[in-house]
Amino acid sequence: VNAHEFLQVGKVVMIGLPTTLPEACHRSACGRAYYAAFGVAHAVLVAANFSMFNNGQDHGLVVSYLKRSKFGDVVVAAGLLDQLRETRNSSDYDTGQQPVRGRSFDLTYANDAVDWGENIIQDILSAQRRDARVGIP
Amino acid sequence: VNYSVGDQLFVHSHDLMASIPGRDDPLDERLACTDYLDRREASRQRGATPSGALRAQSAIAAAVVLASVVKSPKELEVEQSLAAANKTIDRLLAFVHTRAASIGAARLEAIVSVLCDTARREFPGLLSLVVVVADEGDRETEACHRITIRAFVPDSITTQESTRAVKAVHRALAEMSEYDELRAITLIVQPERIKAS
Repeated sequence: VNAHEFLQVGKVVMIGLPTTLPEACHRSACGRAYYAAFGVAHAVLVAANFSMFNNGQDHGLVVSYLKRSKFGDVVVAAGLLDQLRETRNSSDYDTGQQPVRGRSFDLTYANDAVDWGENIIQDILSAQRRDARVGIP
Repeated sequence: VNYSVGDQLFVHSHDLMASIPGRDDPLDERLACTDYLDRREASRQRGATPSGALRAQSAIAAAVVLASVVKSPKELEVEQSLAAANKTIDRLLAFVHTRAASIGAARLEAIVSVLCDTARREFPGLLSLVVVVADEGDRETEACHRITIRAFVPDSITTQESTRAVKAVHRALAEMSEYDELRAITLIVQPERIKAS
């Protein structure tokens, strides 16, 4: 699957069942947005022959690689991806009948997360068109 | 089997056997790692390990102690043992979670100041900023500082305006920081929309 498709799923989920399961939908959209952005970044780096662990450690490794880029847009995308990972973690883990951490996930928050994901993907794919290694020495 | 490598870090045996980016460890060295940890665990359970080592902070530290007390009448044998231990230690080190070097307080303050100025400039109709600088506790990142900027804005701000401002703050950090500083910082820029009363 092309990870980019997760972003579309996120958009559908975000508006899919808003009247019956609003917060669960908004949280799920944040998760899809993150995995879309992470998956695209990961695939671009793998295509450029960067080594990966191929396990959970890749989340940090992808950000670390992207921060090395000489392209400003890619470094910004790295920071935004790190921030979106934090949002995704909160959306999935800070839950419960009486959450003790995190915040409620409304439609605006989910919209922000999906837009961050879209921006990350656009900036990384744009950089890839200029240089297969997205500016990483 | 889960091994503890480093303080509070648990590594599954499958992961320990996996290849590490940038390294080409032969299979026997990978096996030596799991073998070493298996023997260490067995020794610990028998109570043969000195009590001080029972709560060793890491397998690395334990391996160093083990290597330093090896006594053998054959010098060559000792050297070989130490060389083998060093290989094991070297591979185990790759699994120990590392953090980027921390940034001095004055420099960190200067960075935060620039980020706040950028946020004030970029968020349309900004009402207030709340900034928190803390140690990074997330084990999935190598950063050691976390800067959280909560930007309170009117709820009329659009998603696109908000994202543009968030990216501008990240760009300010990228433009003023070297790679080592970027590694050391997790930056969270969180727009908080306030409904007009």
